[in-house]
Amino acid sequence: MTRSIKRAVLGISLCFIILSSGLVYWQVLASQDLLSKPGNLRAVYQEQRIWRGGIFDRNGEILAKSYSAVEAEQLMGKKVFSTVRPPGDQYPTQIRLYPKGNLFAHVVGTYSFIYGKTGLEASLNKLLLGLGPNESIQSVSQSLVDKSRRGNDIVLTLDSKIQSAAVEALQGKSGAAVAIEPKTGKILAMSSAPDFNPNELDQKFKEINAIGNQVFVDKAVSAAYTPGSIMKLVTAGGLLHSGLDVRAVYQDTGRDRVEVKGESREVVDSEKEGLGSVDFFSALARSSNTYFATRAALAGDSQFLAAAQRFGFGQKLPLEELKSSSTSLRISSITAEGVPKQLKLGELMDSSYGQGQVQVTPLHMAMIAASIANGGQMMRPGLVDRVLSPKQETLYQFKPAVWLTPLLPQEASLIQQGMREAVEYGTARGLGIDGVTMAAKTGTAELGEPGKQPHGWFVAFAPAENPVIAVAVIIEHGKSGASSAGPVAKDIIQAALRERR
Amino acid sequence: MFKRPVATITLFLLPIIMLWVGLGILQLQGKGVDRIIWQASMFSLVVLAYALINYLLGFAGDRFLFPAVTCLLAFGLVVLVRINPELAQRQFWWATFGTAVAAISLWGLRDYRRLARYQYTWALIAVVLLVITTFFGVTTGGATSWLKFGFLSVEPEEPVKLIMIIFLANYLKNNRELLSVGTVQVWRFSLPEPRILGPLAMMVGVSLMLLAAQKSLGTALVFYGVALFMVYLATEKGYYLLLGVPVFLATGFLGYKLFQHVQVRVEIWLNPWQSVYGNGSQIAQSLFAIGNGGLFGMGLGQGFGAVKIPAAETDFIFSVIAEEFGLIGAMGILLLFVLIIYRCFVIALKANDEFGTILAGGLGLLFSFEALIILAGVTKLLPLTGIPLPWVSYGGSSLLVHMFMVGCLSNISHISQCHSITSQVKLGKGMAE
Repeated sequence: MTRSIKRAVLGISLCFIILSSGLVYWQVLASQDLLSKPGNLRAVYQEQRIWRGGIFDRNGEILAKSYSAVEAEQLMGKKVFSTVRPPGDQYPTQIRLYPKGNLFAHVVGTYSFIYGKTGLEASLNKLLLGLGPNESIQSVSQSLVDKSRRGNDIVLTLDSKIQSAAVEALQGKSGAAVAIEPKTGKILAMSSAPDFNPNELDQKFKEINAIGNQVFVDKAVSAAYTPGSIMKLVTAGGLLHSGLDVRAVYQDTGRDRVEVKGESREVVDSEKEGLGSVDFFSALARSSNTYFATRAALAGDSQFLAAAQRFGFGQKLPLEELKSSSTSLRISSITAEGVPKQLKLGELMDSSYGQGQVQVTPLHMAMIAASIANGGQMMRPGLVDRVLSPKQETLYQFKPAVWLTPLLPQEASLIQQGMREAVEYGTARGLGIDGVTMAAKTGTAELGEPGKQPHGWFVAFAPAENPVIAVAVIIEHGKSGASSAGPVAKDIIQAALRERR
Repeated sequence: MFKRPVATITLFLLPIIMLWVGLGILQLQGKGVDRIIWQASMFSLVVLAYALINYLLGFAGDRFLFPAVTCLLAFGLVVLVRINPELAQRQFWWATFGTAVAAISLWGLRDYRRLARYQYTWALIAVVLLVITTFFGVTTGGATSWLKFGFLSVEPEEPVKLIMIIFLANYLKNNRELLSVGTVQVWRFSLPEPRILGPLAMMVGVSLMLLAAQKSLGTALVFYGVALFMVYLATEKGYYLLLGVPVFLATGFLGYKLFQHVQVRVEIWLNPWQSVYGNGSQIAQSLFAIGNGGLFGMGLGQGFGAVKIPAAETDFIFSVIAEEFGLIGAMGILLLFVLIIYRCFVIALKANDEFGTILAGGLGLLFSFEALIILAGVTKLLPLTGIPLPWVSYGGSSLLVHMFMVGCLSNISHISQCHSITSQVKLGKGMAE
């Protein structure tokens, strides 16, 4: 029987070798793949073993923090339960709370076991867990002997008081507001309406979802809208670049016809009777469609498109810190293909006053306003001011950097003057703030859909001679920009100026 | 007659050190070790007593088999404490009792050849046990394989495994010649007469049918494989294996068509991800755990599979080990099994009679089939059929029977060794033959 026994041993050995190969496959080759399978909560459980870092505003106020069960109960005035507890774990329970409630629902985001992570909670996850760029939660968790491991704290550029003004002013509306410090590019406020209370996400998901109006979308960065007349700021940049005579007087009769290269096209201002004699500044201040459409047509599509390119149309906004699987950064565009090589005359004229196919994001619009305020230099936007290690050592510090230079300083100051005049006697009059010179541009974006009210836009910066804040506000279906978005922008600017004093 | 007493003592100390280091780590994590200190001490003492008795009585057999089994046992106990300290408390008693059973079967039995007596009585008992279970058994996890006596649950298919192997070993010893030299010509093969094949077909066939009726498909598969390969071992005729393949396929196909839950099992096997929260949860959770282990594991007490996998303390204990000890630990378990199986066949080759050879070989085959079927199941190499992993999974019936088998194997190797050293050594008067 020796022969058959030896053969049996050989066969069994072979089976064990196949079994070992199976183990190598699952434990080494397919290990990462298994971790991301739906139904595998291990990544979430393992994250719970690290005390997640906090998120703070620029004055150190708590925007998001992990609390122990006792602290959480004190803060919320009732018992708070973590929705999912890692099974049988001996690590301390941490409950993620947002003391500012609704204020930062979109930008700071949420941390939920059921609905996942959004906003900065998602995009800064690795920093909040204190993981190095090459570390994965799995590799750390496997060697986790130290049960008191903590993540990094993150201090944002956002300011709770300014944010609060924005959120309050947007209450009951649908839209977004972004405020930027023009000189540095630091984002001071960024809100999207309608909003919700991230502390109640797990318990009241259905009610929140029923609010509608894309309540979970961060409209400040993930939505793009027809800009309407605020686009004239970009068109103005192109016109100045082409050597426009700003003093040349134009007769606005409410309609006009241009002929370029044998093609003839008419522009009709639907609402106005005609503004009479306007120059560059009053055309901007009183928002003359015929002025900008005809001037843009005469200057040519390449001037307009080059200006759009210089202002960052068709490009990703450099705000990687907010980008994650749950938050996409929309790109502003002139047509569906971004910034095209050329435009037909009709398209050019429509685009010059922000109709046609033009789409902009609220963040980008705030950056455009900020670049005009900053003498033509568009700064790289930033949300993260500092990253602090658990020992409070600074691991990262925001440094202002120029992203684009869409305007020469003298061009910027000419547009600034037009925007100041808008507040003095133009479309934004009555929205000024006592003792402060403000510069602004209104926009009313016709949607071309019957029965739908136009979107209201308002961009502004103040104080005009030394700007500390630039804002962009959109109110969906708010009718005129001056009446809907204007007061919101004014509230935000006032909050910022109050803080400065 | 221990050649190297120090080395042998070390072999016995290894599993005990493993056990206490494991318990120490769990104690540091506050996993409720304190209430089983007493049971763990008892078990350690019994293992040492086993070593002492062997030394005093002059054990000359295989020195590696029992320590290797005890290593698996200790590993399993530590992991059980981690999964469920209350169950582990009971398993410690079974392990202590099992070690005593091994000693009894090694020394009390005096000679394994006595097992061959009354083979038909044993076979009858086996069949009766299975019949009773089929009609009066308790159903858990889809299979009707438990008999309840008050607080005690017994799984009759475990002792039936032992009885069947003893029966087959004796039957094959007696009919070896006739089975290998055929008289009936079928195409190119000469097969033995039906009269000789009768008892074999009866025993195996009836057991399989009863197991199928109980829906213990994993155990049925083990029975079939072991029986088939034992015939091959004894006869050295490959055509028995060839003959077994179409029979297996036909039975498998029939089972697939007849049993709804076989179809579900195969479906889950083909794609467990489609029903991660439903039917596929067991195998999906098992693979999540195994995958999470990586190379070095999460560390004892750090994994999630212990709580997330259904039946983590029985059929899926290997997945928990793979998560907490990684590829290294999982391979360690495989190596221990390979070592134990290898020793079984070494004992088979050295045995000084055919009954001993076939019996030891049959037990080696049993351990191989059991380990391979459940391990291939939890790693999705084969459709899952739940059976315990010998010595590691929780379960008293399985553990006692397998400890008895280890005692038998030790007895076979001891007697063959004594015979080869000196023919004068007598092991009691009640020797068979």
